[in-house]
Amino acid sequence: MSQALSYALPGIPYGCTFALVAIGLVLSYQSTGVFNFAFGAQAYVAAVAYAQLASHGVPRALSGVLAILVLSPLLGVLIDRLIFSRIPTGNVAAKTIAALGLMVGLPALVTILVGPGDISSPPSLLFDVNTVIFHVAGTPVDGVQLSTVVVTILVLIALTTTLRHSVFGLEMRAAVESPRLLRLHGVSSRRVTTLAWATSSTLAGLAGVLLAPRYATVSIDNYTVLLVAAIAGAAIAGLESPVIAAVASVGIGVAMGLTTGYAPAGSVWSTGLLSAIPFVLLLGLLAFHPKLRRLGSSEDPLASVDPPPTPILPPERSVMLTSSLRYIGPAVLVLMVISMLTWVSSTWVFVITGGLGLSLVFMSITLTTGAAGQVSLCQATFAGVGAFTAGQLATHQGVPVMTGAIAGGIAAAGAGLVAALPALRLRGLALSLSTLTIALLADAIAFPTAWIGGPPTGLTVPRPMLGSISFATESTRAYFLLVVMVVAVTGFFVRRLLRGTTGRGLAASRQSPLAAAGIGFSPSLTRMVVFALSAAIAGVGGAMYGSLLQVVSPGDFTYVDSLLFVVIVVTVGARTVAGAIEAGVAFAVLTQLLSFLPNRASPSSIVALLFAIGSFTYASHPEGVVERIRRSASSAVDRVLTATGVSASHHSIEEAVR
Amino acid sequence: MSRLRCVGLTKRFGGLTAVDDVSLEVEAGELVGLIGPNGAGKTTVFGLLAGETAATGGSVLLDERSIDDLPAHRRARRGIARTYQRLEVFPDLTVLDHLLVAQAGHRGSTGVVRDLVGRGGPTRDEIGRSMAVLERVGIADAADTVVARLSLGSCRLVELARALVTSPSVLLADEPSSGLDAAESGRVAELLSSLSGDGLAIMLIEHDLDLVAAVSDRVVVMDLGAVVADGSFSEVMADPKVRTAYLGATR
Repeated sequence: MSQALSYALPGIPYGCTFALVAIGLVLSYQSTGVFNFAFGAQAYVAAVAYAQLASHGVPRALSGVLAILVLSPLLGVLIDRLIFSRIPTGNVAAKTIAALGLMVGLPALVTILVGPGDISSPPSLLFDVNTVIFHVAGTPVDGVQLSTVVVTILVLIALTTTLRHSVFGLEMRAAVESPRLLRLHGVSSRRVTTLAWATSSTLAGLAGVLLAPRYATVSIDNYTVLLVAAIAGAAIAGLESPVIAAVASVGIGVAMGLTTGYAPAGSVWSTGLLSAIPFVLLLGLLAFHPKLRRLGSSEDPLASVDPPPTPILPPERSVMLTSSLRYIGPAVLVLMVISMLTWVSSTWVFVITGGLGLSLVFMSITLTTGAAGQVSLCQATFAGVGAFTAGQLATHQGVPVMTGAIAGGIAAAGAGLVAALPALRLRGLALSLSTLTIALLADAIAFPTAWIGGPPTGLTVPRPMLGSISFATESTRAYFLLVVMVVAVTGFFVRRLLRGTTGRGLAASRQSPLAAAGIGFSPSLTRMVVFALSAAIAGVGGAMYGSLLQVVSPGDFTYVDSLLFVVIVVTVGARTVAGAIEAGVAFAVLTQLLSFLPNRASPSSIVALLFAIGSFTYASHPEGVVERIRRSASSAVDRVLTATGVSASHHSIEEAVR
Repeated sequence: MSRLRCVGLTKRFGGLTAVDDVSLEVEAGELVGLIGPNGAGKTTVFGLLAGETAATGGSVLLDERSIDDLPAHRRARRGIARTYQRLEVFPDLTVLDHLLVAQAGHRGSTGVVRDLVGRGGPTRDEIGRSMAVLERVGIADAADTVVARLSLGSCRLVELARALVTSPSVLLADEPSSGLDAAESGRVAELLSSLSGDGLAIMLIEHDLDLVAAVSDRVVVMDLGAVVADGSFSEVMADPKVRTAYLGATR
């Protein structure tokens, strides 16, 4: 008994940090309708700020106050005013993507500001880790643990009293029901929303600072685990009661404490199982908790007043421009391929081949997010499955890598079907959460396993052989040509899907799930098929990318990559195959260009930040940056043509094509 | 024999009984008007018949066979088509696409294999059927227009055409004339009459009582979730319970 207690007790302070974030999640979801993925990142920002201040000799108390009570609320207000208040209530996809942008952008910003190295963990805020305050049934309780528990209880009491007995609390509860009705009664719902953001962000900051001393370094990954555990806690409370959310979070902490104690130390299971608890719990909750399945569907009685999400109209341009572009486009492409095969330096050939390999993975996002309108957050995981399958088959069975790539695609499709199982009943936010959980599970348990992700030194994925020609010994140019062909073939088929019956069906399900079911589309069949197909494409893409690198490791296909990929694709253009290819090449080229900067900051962080900022425009421009530029450019050319009298008649593209 | 029938249909949202023991039926070729004040539960009844929401109690029968276990998309494939009170169109698609996608949905396949082998395009048959329906509804001119560019009235007609293109046996039309001008709503009335003349079973929710009087074979009046009157238009209008429902109780 006392042994169980000694394992359970240290779990309580952990659980309390989960609880703080869970309370914040419930609060912000209830008062703003945003389910904030970026909460972990906000906690991380506060922790880094605190660590940096403390390490520069600022007193601990002052550092804490600055990080928790100044920076965190400010961050919350900025996020609300600059990003979320500009997105209409009903546009769940845009809100999800903006939150993802933050989840990618905030850590990138931190890396740019602080530098890429590890940030060593700060001293604890109130007491010292080594000071034992008292013993409970023989188990020592240190100062940090005690202060975490006390602070959590105080926050909970303060918050419930405020919500129950103050005008602000009343307004906040009214904002839950309908921000618009509140506004009609003369209360600024903007002010209520902003205050809620500031409060919840402060809670995230508090959790971040309290948790920081527990780990060796301040790392975003720990805060993602924190986020998932907190989401599970909030989920148990049905995202409604802060008190239940807090109690449930503490329960999760205790369960993790018990697992740490009883699992054989040092085994894969002790690390794997431990980190899996919140994920598995969340997956189960998402699949079976009726309230969570509807997550993100707006229940504001006045939500129909919102203008519908901006439809993407086909561009209008003159017939002459359309027909001339029909020849210029392919000509430019052929010229580019020839240049790559002749005079472009091998470094750049490598970079662009990498970009093309990624663009295969990006095409899978074109299907899930662009066509089906579902934000899947495990596409990099599927790419990893493809790469590891090809690598394992080549290493252990001597299977040619191109056959391996196809096998990888099939294996990834299988993984996609498994991932789609919990997703069968889910859509919108709940689907994003469940796919994120799957990605995290793969990172924590599946990929570190040797027979999947290979040895710690990395898994070899050889370059293909064609007869006696090895694509490895020849220059990268040959492999480039092979990748171009794979991209062309895949793109051709994906385009057929997008433009055919499948694309129309997906567009219907995306734009009105109700009417799509009303004309006979099975929502779950559609989702299964899209998931399997996109996973297969991602798997082939991962294998091709792996074969370019020649060695892959689990670190190449983490959940962070999945997030970044989605953010990149929606920024550049998620609706077309061309958009996916442009996204892949743009990402690779931009990263390479920035590496020439005489700066200590890592180029990948700058790129991530740029695309994260780009993703915030998704609500107003779902067609993506490149498509937007292309449209304004073509209408500018059109204006010139019309002004000079070269072209007179205007037709929309659809009419010109028919 | 009734085409679509429900018996003792009940729906409770928590403590609120939105639909209370409702029994309705519609025969082939019959047009039943479903009227009642706002909040009477008419649209909820449609949702229950179409399978969008699960009933708390009661049963729905299509051609005298229970369809209670079928989800919305399967009921649609069995021949229950509907239009929506709050517009449900696909803004990015053209008018013709709406009808093509409806036919694809009705077939029950996602079309992936046909798309991949390059046979994903609509057949001449499908286009022909679509154009015939658009012609009949009166929006054939707009076939290639993206729906986001259309007026509310035209969107209602698109919904109607989308519902009709799969030759359903039952049409649930939820306020098809709201947002339409007098001429357009006259056309809708004509269309509904001629459709029921062709043997389609139609249930019509409508606030324009003149339209209901003109087209309905029978009128059912609902109030507070329950059926309060059932009969010809003049019969139900003479019923004191209907006056109470619309005008409130007199003392």
